[in-house]
Amino acid sequence: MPQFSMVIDLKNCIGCGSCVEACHQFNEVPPGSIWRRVFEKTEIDKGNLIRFFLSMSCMHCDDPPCVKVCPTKATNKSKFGIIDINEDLCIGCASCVLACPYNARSINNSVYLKNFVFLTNRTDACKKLGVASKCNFCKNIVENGLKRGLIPGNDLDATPMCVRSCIGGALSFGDLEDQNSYVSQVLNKNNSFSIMSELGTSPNVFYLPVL
Amino acid sequence: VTMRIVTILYPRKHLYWKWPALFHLICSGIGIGGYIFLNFTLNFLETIDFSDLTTLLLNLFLLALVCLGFVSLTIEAGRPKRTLFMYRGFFSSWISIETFFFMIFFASIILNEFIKSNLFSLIIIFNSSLFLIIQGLIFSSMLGIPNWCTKILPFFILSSGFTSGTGVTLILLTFLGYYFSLLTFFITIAIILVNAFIWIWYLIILNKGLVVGPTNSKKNTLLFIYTYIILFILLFASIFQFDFIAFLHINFINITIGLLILFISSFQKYFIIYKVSFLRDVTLSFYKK
Repeated sequence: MPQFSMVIDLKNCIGCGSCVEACHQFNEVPPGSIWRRVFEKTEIDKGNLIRFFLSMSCMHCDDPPCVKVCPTKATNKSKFGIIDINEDLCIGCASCVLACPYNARSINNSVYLKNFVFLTNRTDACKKLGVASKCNFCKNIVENGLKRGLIPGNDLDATPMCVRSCIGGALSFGDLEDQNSYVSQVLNKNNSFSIMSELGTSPNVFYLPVL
Repeated sequence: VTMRIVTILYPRKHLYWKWPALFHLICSGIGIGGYIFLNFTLNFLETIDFSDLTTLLLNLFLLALVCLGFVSLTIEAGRPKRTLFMYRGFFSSWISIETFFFMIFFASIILNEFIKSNLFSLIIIFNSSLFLIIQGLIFSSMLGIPNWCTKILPFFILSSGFTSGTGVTLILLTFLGYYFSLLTFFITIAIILVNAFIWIWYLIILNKGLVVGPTNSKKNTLLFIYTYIILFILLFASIFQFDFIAFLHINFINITIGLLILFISSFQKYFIIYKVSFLRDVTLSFYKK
């Protein structure tokens, strides 16, 4: 079974925020909800001042705490290893928001969405009212690409929007189970780390260190 | 190998699970704890003979409190009308299991009115205790909030439920004109002591790994100490029957004891929901050779 994952090279990230913009634009993320963020940090290493940027979203963990606490099974792990939310089942109880140690989830702002539906007559947006939302590795793009025989990560049409829009080439995406995929090769060749792996969540977003 | 930790996101307050969660904890604690105290201590240890109507009304009052607590939870949900979806997946999460135990609790209280058996009462008491523990497990499974994610929290919710149940039973039965034996008072003292012990244990755990200190911790600790001192003075006054403020045939000391017990358990829950519920800090750990 494929396990899609992301590798972020901190040395290449220039903090432009295009991944955030592309993600929020494509997925129509309402204000107040966060799918992807870029943090700026400055550290001193061996007397040198090092400034780096960290792009962060859902970690699509192997052992996801959000799935364990969902009372309606709305949050689920797909066969591709992507953690997704079924908006038709979510009751917006926010237990997944509190269970996620990465603060990668939020509850959609109902007031904004109601106005959005009223002004644009886009009734499909009603699905998002008051439910939890988070990064889903642009699941629709990936799944449609796979149906067309494309390889996510290699073919742009099957790759998440954040990876496509990254101008520094910091973000890469692919199947971790496929030894020939770009992400597998990058992880084999380089030292990598994942955020707060000591919690036992086994994240599927890996970082190549800058320090 | 050296490790270097860089903090990306500092601990911060969150927006969810505020007063509805507190209301749920307080109401279900009083309801379930009260039911246990009423059925165990007074059924098995006291010689008080309740009339059937009194027992029925008391049980229904406590059940109504638990139901009210459950309804309050739906207020905070983004899609309250979908709450019934929780019945889709029993045992998929602690919240679903709590819903299941709520149904059993509801059914067993109704059935207990028809099946007058000590064994059945014991089964209900065991089930109700599990119900309280599961409420604690909901909170302790929240990995994003380190101050909730402790193994002691389910036991605290259990002991706090017993404590608040004791308090409300004392108030209700005193108003109904019942007097208690020494044994009931000693059990009350034991319940309060166990609660205090678990609470202190929880605070010690918090102080060891606390990400952000609760505000006014010294003030809160002093408030607890003073309340406990007043409570124990009143308890001993009641045991030795210093009924110095009794008038209108109502034992005001017992009512004050009950109110103080309710205050302590409710404040503890307020402390957990509002004062220490900080989201986990997000850190990077760099390992260097």
